[in-house]
Amino acid sequence: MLRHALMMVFEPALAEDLVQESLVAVLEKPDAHRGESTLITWCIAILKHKIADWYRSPHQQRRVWTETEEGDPANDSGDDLYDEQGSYKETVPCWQQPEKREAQRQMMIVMETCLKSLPAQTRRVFMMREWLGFETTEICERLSLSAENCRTVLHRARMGLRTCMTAQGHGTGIIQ
Amino acid sequence: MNILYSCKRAAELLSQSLDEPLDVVDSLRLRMHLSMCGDCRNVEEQLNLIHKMSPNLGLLDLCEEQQTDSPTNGEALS
Repeated sequence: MLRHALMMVFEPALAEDLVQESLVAVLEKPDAHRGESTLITWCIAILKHKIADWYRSPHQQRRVWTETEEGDPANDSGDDLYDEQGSYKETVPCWQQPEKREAQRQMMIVMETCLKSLPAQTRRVFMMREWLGFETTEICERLSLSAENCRTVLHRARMGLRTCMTAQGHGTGIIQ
Repeated sequence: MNILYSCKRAAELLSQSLDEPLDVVDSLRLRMHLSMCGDCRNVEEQLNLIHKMSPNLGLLDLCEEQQTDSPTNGEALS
């Protein structure tokens, strides 16, 4: 849990607090997870809520996208994937759909590794959208990004993940 | 292929479509591009899979750990 909290908030002390708060919440209402599949699922769900609340709290407002760290989001990178016509230089391989449990686990590990390779702010926007399930409009607002920049960052994150996972996938059974 | 968007533009729209509905023209042109372009269909599938997997980040390996204690509790992600 702590590992994931860290991936989201980037401040160890804060991540620890959030995890601790989540665990306390779980312990206070041990019966509340009835109907949820497992205790771990329930813990992670609470942690997500805590992190989402933290993002929505007023003191979060000043945490905005800083251009120095990763450059201007309007500056689209990843262009080297394409030729002048905007077609893929190299054929995009087909991924094996991970149907078996072990394949899903393998793929999740690859995805986590690749997430760590993304620039921190890009990863945060991606996690807010895809892990926490924030709407893009809310992410833009919280981070003071324009809708266009938000779109670009998410696109860049997804393409970065896709490329990284393809590269890592050789040898782990993701690529046929 | 250019009239129907480049692969680069198609990828942007594929990503955008995971966050918000595309307008009719974009959506139509994207569908037409995809129908003709295997690369972009693969990209579409990969982006969809990433989208589908993301909410479960953090669950899988934890479930595995838990499974060693109690094998019956491992169905969270199935």
